[in-house]
Amino acid sequence: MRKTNCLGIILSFFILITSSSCIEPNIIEELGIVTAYGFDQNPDTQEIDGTVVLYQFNPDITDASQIIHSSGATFDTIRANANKQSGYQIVNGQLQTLIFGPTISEEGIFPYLDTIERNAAVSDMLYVAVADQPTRDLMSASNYEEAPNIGIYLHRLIETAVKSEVIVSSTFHEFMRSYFRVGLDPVVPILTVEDNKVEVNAIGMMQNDVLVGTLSMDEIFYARLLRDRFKEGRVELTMNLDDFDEYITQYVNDPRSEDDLHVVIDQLGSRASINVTDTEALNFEVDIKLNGRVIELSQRINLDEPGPLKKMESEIERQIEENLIEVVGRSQELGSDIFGFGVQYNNATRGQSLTTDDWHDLFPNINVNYNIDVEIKRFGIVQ
Amino acid sequence: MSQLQIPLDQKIKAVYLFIVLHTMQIGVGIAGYPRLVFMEAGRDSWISIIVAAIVLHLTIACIVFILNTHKDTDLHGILTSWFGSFIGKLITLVFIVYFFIMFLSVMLNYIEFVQVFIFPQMSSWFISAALLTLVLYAVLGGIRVAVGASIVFFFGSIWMLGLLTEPIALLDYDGYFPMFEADMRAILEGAKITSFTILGFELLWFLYPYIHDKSKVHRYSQLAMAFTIAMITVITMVSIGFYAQGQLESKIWPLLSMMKIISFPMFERFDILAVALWMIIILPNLILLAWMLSISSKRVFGWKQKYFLYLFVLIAFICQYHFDNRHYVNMFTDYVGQAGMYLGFLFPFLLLPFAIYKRVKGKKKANAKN
Repeated sequence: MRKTNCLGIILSFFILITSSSCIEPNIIEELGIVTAYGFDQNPDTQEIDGTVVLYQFNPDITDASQIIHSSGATFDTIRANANKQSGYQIVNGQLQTLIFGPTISEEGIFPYLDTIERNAAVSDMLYVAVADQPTRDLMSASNYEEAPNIGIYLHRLIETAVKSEVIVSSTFHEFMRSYFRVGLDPVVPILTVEDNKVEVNAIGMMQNDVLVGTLSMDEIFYARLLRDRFKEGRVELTMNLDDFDEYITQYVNDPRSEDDLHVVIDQLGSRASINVTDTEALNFEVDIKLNGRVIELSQRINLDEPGPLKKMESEIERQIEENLIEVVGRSQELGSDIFGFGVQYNNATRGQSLTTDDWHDLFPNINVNYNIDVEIKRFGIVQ
Repeated sequence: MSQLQIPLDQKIKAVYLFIVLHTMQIGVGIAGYPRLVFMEAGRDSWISIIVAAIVLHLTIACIVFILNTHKDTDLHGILTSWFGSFIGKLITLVFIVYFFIMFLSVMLNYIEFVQVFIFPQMSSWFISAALLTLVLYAVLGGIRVAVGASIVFFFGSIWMLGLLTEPIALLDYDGYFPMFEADMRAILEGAKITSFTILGFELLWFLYPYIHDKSKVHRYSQLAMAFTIAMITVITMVSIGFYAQGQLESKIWPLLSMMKIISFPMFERFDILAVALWMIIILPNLILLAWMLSISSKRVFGWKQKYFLYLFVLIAFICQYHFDNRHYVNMFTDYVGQAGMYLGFLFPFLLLPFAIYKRVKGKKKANAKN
């Protein structure tokens, strides 16, 4: 027994000593850590122009970030070419955001995503986004709050929007999942520069990996309503004031518009289900259950009584239905099923293998009925 | 010859079989298994798993039945007493080759994990030297050290199952529908793939004489199988819900890829740690296989167990040096699966009639005596 112990100890020492020389060390001060990439198709050459946001972990450097522009035919060549302009070894391990310029998003972004999936070093939780102008311009926006660099700012920006349920999350994993799922198209946030600062101002509807249209920030709510679940969402609706004439306790002159009643609902919880009622005629039924509290009203209405409350709820239902019809109708025109009608259709038609292309042919012809049920649970601390 | 005289201080309790057999079954295979079964049976993979589970439980019942016919002997002893020394040695030798290829396949697969996920530059010989040293050390300590190692490593790795809560939070339940689309053929193909993954229970053939309380062998072996089946069911179902069809089909190791999304404030990328920790999942496999290889060789050829151990470790080291790319890794894994179909699942049922015959004869003898 003692003999074997001795052997074990000697061998483990041998391994400890040799192991330190076996692996190439990556010293963090010598690395240029990429936090974001931006890609644009160069119209003159066949190459892609890349914007690489680098970050160094070095306490001695005050300005630890830099932006490098390089080009190449592939993702990895862009990284390698960027390294020609930097004394740091550029690595992708901390990549958080990928942004594609309009020239690429109109052609399809999937070909650029392969290496992200193939390379085990890159996280699946990075955000995929699309810019409405060349990423080179977008990423040179100099106002990025207190973030160490624009890459980290972009990540925070998108993450905040996702966490507050304003936009639909589009991490790399989720993007790929919707891309591969038959009957569901991906969505991506669209970034733009306003006053030298990047902001999320829309989401893009994709057909497969091609950007075909956008939804404004107000319309995103309806896409998210069908695609996801709200836990603490928020929506603003504009109603006709005449409908509430009899309930208004005290009319105030509203300078915004005289005929409109603005309602804001927050703490919004939702549950939506899409059902296929007729696979031949492509009839769908959408059941939505919503509940929330009124946080702002542009006129005082006594919601404590059942009459106005019922009226309010049914008006909200009508409004949401109208908007849904419009948003879904537009996505049908564009041929981008970001809601997942196709997934349910595929589930309902057993044994028939639906392809993405088949569904894109069918999707414009579907008919949808909405059953919306709104419940206002609370209305703040005033009546 | 057929009765093994094993001193009490080398015997283990039957309850440890639960962990030993389970750790033998769960190894490198589980990381890639969800994709493989999904490619065959699609969303209905769970049916395949159930089919495979039924066969597995029957097989275990059959093995235990045969082993119980003779007290205190292993497969080699049983074969020798039934068919004579030549056939006994031959079949044990087949098992030795089979377990050796399994040993190689586990090691090569793990080396590939490390190189793909953490250290692309780390040389294969170095990883295998590190693993083989640990194997050598544990097996030289005897059966109790080998079993003890698998128990420690089992508790050291089982908590990782809890990390699946993060992918579970991101499940897309639409991925499970429509159900029952796969035809019978696909289900059976899926079950076949599943059977490759749950191989390793054959160790029971050789571990049996070392069990102290034989009456509980059946209970704990079946429990171990049920636990393994539950585990692969959970992992497979999470993978199917987490990935879309085309995505899952493109991931070589869905389980490790799922770990990529787990991140802690002080530990950004959990998959790196997962691959490192995977070593303690495969070490029990390697240790128990090496123990079995050396002890069976001793039974067949009669030299000291230690010499065989050194020999196998050396051959394994040389082999990994020669078969160092994805192509060979796949080839070895396929061989093990194919062989396992026959040696693991079919073989016990072939022996069953003989065992029944022996028992009936034994009873008659006993009756005649009375």
